[in-house]
Amino acid sequence: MIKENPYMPIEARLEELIEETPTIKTLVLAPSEPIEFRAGQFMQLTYPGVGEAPFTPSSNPNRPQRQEITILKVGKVTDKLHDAQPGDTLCLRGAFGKGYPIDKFYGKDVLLVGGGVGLAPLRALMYALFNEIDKFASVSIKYGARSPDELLFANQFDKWRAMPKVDFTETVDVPVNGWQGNVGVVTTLLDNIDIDIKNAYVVSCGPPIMLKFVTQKCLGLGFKPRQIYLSMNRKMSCGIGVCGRCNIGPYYLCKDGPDMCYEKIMKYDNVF
Amino acid sequence: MANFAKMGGDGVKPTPRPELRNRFENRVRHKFEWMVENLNVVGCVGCGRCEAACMGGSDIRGFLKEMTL
Repeated sequence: MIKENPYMPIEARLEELIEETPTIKTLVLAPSEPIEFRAGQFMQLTYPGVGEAPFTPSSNPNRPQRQEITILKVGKVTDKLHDAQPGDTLCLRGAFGKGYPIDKFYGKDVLLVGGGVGLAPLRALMYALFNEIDKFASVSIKYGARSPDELLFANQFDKWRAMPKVDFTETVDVPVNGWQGNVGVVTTLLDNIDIDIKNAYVVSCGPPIMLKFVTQKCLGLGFKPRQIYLSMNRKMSCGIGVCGRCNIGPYYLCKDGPDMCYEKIMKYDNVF
Repeated sequence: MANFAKMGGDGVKPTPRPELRNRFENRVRHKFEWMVENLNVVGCVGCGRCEAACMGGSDIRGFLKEMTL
């Protein structure tokens, strides 16, 4: 839902800071008025005096009073956000974008492929899917991280695995600390998937290089480009399709995405 | 303008249009192709600076008129 003036932020109090991994923290924010969002829509989070950056909430879209935003430490703004203290005032504006086309997934198998901090936006989608799990044939989640320490939301994996119709598998690139699970990049998990490929959708979120290989792998498995949805996140600035930082061809990721159907963007350069 | 859309995480994420030719392509196609698709207007305001600078004397405004009519 966008306000009358889309540039006017809403004050949000930082309630809690959850340390997920050494480089990833989840900020629990309580905006001064509820901000409605659909899974996959993003928000602009401001650290006053430092800057603004786009993030997709990782919390349940049914709870507009409290947003959880999971942030990887990469630069100026995210450094400051990691150092913020509970009680600080941050600013939010949004939500922007279209979000995931959940109504298209009804009756189908849904395959979610996440990499690193890319599981955060997918968690919002997972909550949305779990809310009406009867409507989907199955939900299969494949997640890859660099090392066991960097597995995001690791304490929730067992809860997700226990859900009916849900299959959750994780893998790490570098097995350390006596890791017993799968080893290899996330595309190796796609080798033996048990879903009806003609009747399925793939949703992927992660670093651009991962999205590239997931797309190639899925096309090789027989998925059509229209069945693949990618979270093509760029550094959106305005959020309403004006500034031109996030366009891929004629599509503005902030307005038409950020989750784009691969069929729409495949013919343009520098997609990944 | 290489940093126009630069993302956080140096070395992890590229800028979406790293080279000058990518940015030039974006500029030209945005003005003359994608704006027409999205908004049904050409992004040229008709200032004529491109024609003044063109050593071959291309009539760019004329081309655009012919191509979009």
